[in-house]
Amino acid sequence: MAGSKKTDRDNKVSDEVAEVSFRKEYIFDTITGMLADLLEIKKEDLRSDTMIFEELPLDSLQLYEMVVDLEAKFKIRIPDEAIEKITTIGDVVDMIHEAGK
Amino acid sequence: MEPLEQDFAENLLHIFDNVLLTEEMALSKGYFSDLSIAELHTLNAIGPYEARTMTETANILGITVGTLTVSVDRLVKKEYVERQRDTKDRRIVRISLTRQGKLAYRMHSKFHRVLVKRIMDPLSEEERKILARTIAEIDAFVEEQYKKYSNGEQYKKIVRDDTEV
Repeated sequence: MAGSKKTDRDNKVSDEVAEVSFRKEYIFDTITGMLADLLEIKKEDLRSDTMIFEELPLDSLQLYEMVVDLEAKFKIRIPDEAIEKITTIGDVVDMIHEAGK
Repeated sequence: MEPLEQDFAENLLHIFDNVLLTEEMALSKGYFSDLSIAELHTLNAIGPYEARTMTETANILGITVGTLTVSVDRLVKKEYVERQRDTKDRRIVRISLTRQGKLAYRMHSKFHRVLVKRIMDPLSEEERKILARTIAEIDAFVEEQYKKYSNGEQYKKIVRDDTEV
């Protein structure tokens, strides 16, 4: 049936889109973009091993702004228990990457 | 009352008063100074994820849909809550938190987590278990009394007082 073929193709396309959005480079790019906007710093200065709470002037409201925006962007849930385990930007990338699997 | 019981009763009341006062002060001085405690509890009942119906939310809070509507109207106006019609059944209205609402929810739950952490951290595993069990027993007992006497009237009063301001 022509209709079902179209649906299959649509599914495939949306799977591919989902795969791209959970790629680590894309996640890293999104997070550093958000942090740069929130803190008015240069995106290029942020590394995977940047210590979020020690190196960045991020207060708890800004932290939750990032969390709420990441939840909306990737359609995932980030509980407080997960936030407590975070040290570096790379940790956040890994957490979102895992959530997307 | 025995001195130990006297101390316990005083401390319990003190905790209750101070937690409420601290929450109120933190709210009034913080980023969410336009929110009252009762409104925060409404945000908590709606929760940060799936949209809820008015009836579900009213049941969680133990208030009527009419009372909730007043509170939600204010929260929509302040841009903490948004209403949307169900995509399948247009007669059903669902409510969910806006970005601002989610932030308030998460900051408030952080306050609770910090409180618990501060109390639990110095205790041993055994002491934590005893404390958790005791608190659960106190909670069950107080809840029982509350249901017996007020039948949800107390919360209604708080919301009503709040909306009259």
